[in-house]
Amino acid sequence: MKNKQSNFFLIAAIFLTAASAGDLLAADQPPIEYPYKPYMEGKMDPQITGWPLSEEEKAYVLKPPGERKPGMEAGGTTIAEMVPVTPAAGKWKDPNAWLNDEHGRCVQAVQDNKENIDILLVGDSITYFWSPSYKSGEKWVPKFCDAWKKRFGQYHTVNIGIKGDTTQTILWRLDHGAIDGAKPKVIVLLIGINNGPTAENFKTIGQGIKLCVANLRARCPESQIIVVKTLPKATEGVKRLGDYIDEMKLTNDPRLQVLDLWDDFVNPDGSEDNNLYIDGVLHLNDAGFEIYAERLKPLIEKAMKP
Amino acid sequence: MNKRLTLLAVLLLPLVQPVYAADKSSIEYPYAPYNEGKLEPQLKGWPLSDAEKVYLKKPANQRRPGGECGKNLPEMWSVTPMPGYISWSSQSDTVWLGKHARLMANAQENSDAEIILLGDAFTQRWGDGADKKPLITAWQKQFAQHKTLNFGITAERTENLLWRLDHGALDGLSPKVVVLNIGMNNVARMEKTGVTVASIAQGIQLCIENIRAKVPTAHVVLVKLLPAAKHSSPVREGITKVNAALDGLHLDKDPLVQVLDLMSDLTNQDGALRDKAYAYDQMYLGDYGYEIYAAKLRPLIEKALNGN
Repeated sequence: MKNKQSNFFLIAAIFLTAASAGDLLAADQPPIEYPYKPYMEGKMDPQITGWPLSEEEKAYVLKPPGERKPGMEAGGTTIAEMVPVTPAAGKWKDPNAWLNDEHGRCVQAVQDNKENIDILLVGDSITYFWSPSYKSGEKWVPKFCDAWKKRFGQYHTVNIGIKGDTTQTILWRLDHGAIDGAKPKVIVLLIGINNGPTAENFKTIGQGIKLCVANLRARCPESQIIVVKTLPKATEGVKRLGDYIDEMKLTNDPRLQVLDLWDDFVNPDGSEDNNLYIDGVLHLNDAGFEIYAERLKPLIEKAMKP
Repeated sequence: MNKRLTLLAVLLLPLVQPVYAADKSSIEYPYAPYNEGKLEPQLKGWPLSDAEKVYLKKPANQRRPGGECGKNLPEMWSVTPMPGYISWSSQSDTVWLGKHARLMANAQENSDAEIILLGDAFTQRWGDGADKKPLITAWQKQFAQHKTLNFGITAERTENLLWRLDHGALDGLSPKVVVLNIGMNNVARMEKTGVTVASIAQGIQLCIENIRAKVPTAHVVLVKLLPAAKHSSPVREGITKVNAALDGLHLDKDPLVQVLDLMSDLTNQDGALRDKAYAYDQMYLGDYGYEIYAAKLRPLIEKALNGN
């Protein structure tokens, strides 16, 4: 009896706290729920949405990534399966480079163009290299490669690929101003290789990709989304991740298409076709981008149809 | 004066001639400009000359047959030697040439090897020779008593293997058997590039000819293309067609050549890959697949070893 009563109070208390917290934070909550509760409760990042960052959040995200992983906030060890599905700011050797030069550059690119973006490219270095940026005065200027210009030159494209990005850094960026106010016609998402897919962890990375899609969908309800299956690297982990993306049935969303490039980039003997890679097995060269762009073309064209 | 010069020329002629005399270890390729040295400056030998190194820095499409005259000749790709993936742009590179060099260095320390394996990733996975990895259990079980060198390189095509054979791969070796499994990666993107079935089969035939010329007393076991990819996929269709073309060439009319077909061992009756034989979903052979492969190879290798 006594137990039941205290349970009741406990539940009531939780409801009350949740309600009041909800009211207070309504505008500052991510548009989707992440599975790791301590993150949602603000026990990790002090500021889980919004840009620019508060001083407190800035100090937090500049801590080494190892100290910011799910599980570390409780003084424990990393909970590996929560890493790909919990937003986390990225970090390069220079502590500020990812945050300011990279994320900052991408935020600016979107803000400068947000009224009329046809195609928004979201991803890691493979996406970044569609249009490496150079600095002109204070501005970063993207220079799109021929493979892109030839086929998609007529579209207004903004590329927010950042080298080294993972599902968790994409989630963090989306929640911290990356595409605020943008209404792209088409979003192309390619992410996951830097999460290091293996035969053991591919499902959690798949869940991370699914959350990226859910976040993009919540922020851009009208946009067409193209999910490119993780590429390259002809490993069992990447292959399984690709199959898992099919299993998750993302295409239940009528405005979403999935592009599978496996047969284009992998030889029948199971090796990468390294004639398509700059460095043998990771980044695409011109020939690789030609194939990628050619395969992307019908999906973009379909997405562009009113 | 003139007479004296003529006399000198006549005297020198025998000295000059041997250099140009036909070398029995070289074979003729169907693309004449290649044989004439109009593409590569160094058609054979190792190490590479400076001129050859400069040549290899050119983009791959300029080094392919036809590239020297601005033509697209995909039907010549599989039958004209060309090195595998080369990029000199970053330090970590020339991976393929590095592997070729390491395989040859390793071979010099093991020149008494009886069996040599040549091929692509399906061969490399017997145990990577370039990394001096031991051969896998499936191989050891059947052939532990025969010293074996694995020359398989991932992603290899017929033209890459031809180039290796001409640039030192088997120099100084006298194997009793060479096991060859190549051509699978020529099939990839066959449709898109215009590479033909006949040219792939001919590329495989040239590999055999080349091996026979380099190590004339060695037996050759040709393993026809292994099944890969989904049953009805273009890649699988290409594999089936190339294997049929190989049958038409009757390669085993050479008494030192035997041919092994593993199609029925690695697929079900409906043509689907035998799940148990593959590591994961049509990617590559797993341990059990290699057990089957080794067991099927055994009688052919024994015949070759006893025949010597």
